Amino acid sequence: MRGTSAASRATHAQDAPGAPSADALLACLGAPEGFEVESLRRLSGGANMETWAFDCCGAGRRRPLILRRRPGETAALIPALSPAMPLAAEAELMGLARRAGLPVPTVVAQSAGEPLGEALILSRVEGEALPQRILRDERLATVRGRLAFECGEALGNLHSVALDECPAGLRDLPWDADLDRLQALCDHFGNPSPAQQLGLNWLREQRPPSQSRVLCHGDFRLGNLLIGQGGLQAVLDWELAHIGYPAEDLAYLCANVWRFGSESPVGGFGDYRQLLDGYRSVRGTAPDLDDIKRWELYAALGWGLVCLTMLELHDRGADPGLERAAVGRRCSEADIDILLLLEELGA
Amino acid sequence: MTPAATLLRALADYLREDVQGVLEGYTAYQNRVARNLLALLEREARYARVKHDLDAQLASSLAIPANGLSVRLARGLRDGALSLDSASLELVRQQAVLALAIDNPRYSGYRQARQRWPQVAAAVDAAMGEADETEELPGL
Repeated sequence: MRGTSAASRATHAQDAPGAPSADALLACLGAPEGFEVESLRRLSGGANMETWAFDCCGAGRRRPLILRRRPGETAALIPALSPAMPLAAEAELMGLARRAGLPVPTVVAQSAGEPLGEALILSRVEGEALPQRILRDERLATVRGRLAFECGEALGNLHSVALDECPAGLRDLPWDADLDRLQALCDHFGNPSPAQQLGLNWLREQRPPSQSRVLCHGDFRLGNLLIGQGGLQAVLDWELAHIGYPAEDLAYLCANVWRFGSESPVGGFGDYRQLLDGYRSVRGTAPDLDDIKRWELYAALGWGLVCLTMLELHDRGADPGLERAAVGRRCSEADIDILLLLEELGA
Repeated sequence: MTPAATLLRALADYLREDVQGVLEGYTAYQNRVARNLLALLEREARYARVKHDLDAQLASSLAIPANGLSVRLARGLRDGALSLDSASLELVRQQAVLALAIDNPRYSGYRQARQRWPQVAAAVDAAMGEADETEELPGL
């Protein structure tokens, strides 16, 4: 079942505001007369996407499903800087990823408008999504031992997708333009962080990456990966996919914030060599460790900007709640990581 | 007059002792989040003077005004009008360590920074220790 960090907060539909109607779900599925929706519950919600779990029951069968839906009143993220990806494009990406050999949920049905709104209905894959459980569960000890290699393989497969097959409209910025985008975000938020600016200045001084460009998942880390006894069961949440660099996706998984307090550099569960060996087993080549470190700095900078973005959504009233109010404080995590990495990189 | 930190402590005690036990599910979870935020605010109130003094040191080291220091520094770095010498960088590191001591002392990067930069950690600890002594908070 899709856990996410919000699993412990899963609420029953009757106390969850904005629950989709059973009729709308059944119509979207094209379910025959007599089918019913059971166990509808919210798994996570945010300003730009909500996730529900439910079962479609009928003809003696129970089918476990996920609804991924854009909330009715969508808050545009930061205008022009982070346009939200249409769910139809996510569906297309999941199809591409599946054909490339990655485990992903099956897209069962799509909705573009009323009554369900912009939505995808996906197969519900069994597996654990909660990072702390994945990192601590004794029963997953063996799985953890080979997970970094598996993640390397998965990213190697994803990066083998031909760019001309990708959906139109994916973010595809040359290096300098991408740094301009990050600077524009810093400026938009009123430049609260000297550490972010130090990191960005350092990236500016580097030569542009020389690797070929690939389809990046953009948010490949625990929380967005379903893990089971068989290892990596599904790669979720494709909304940040874009055209980028191989080391970008690999280093993102190694960013300190996505180690969840563990000492192991790859996602909190593995070491660099395992990850890069897995990647090399698919692609024949892999970025070197210096390259990974440089992109860890990029990831830390990006995390700080995500924190500020979520804070702004909260301030605009698009995303109420204590946690969203507090997430702006997590900028200080990104700041310390940037300062540590700058020293490691000899800045 | 009751200091802010004392009020925040009293609120946190109330949420823990009287409220937590009667909640369940989503609201129980949210109450734990609220308690963590109150603890953060209590640290912020307690160490406000430490942050103020550190800002003043850095402003003086950079020869710029202390009000809106972080924004001034970030923009100066962006525009090339400011750069950090080793003394200023040391103070920026102290600021970052102090910020995590308030915002999230459990973050792994906080431990790493304290190990990597023992002098930075010692300077921040000394200033925070002084604040702990002068605030005269009950039960600390």
